[in-house]
Amino acid sequence: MEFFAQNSLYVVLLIALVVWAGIYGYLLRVDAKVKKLEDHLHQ
Amino acid sequence: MAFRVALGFWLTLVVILSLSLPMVARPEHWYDLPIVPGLEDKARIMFFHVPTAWLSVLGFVLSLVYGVRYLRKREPEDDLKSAASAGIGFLFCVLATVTGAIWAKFSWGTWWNWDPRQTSIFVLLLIYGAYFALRSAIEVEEKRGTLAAVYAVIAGVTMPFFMFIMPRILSSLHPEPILNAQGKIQMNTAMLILFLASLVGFTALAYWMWRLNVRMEVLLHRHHGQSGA
Repeated sequence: MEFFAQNSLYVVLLIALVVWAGIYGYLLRVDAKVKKLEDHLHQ
Repeated sequence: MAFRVALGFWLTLVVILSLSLPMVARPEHWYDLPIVPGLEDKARIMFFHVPTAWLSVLGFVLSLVYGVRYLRKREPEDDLKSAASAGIGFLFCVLATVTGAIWAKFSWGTWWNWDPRQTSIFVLLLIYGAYFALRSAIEVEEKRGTLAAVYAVIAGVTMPFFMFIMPRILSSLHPEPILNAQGKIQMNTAMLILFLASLVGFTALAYWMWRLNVRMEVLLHRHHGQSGA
């Protein structure tokens, strides 16, 4: 617990980066799927 | 693709710098951020909280603009854009409320205390929550578009009152009026650049999400048109 108390800012940084990576990856996946559907509909 | 890669790098950098640059009483290096009296490290949430509040305003204004366009031109895509804008506004309004509550917990000692800022954003969430309830309650596309557009215009007109006017009429504990005599967080160049970079990055992220939402709704609209639903 002492480690978290002394490095709380870096713990927050790590959590924020993990959350951002999750959102970014999800959006990339949705973008690719929408593109695939658009291409399919145009054909 | 370049836009998405650039946005990925941009916001990653903003997150890292916002939460790792040192906050010191007397900034000497270009990377030093000034300590905000009374907030200290808690002030870092400003790099995330303010952009979310700004994007909720932008989303609600765009919802109004596309609502007006729909009422004038009757293009179904304008209705979809109005709904997508309201969706983005609502999402970022929720995020502003949550980040504000986190800030409140560590600054005021409680998550929620019905401060004028919190009350006004709560009312705004109820107003736009009703917008989505209205949309989902009407099945006929044209009728839904018209009623939703009229509601988006009325809601958009009331938004500045709840976002900007009401919290300033009533006395609030929100940092803006209590930080210093000028009523502003005093930023140095590094802090201002980082703050603006965060605003730009979050706006680009919201644009990407908005475009994705519109593209999906257009696909769904075409599919329904083809299947005769």
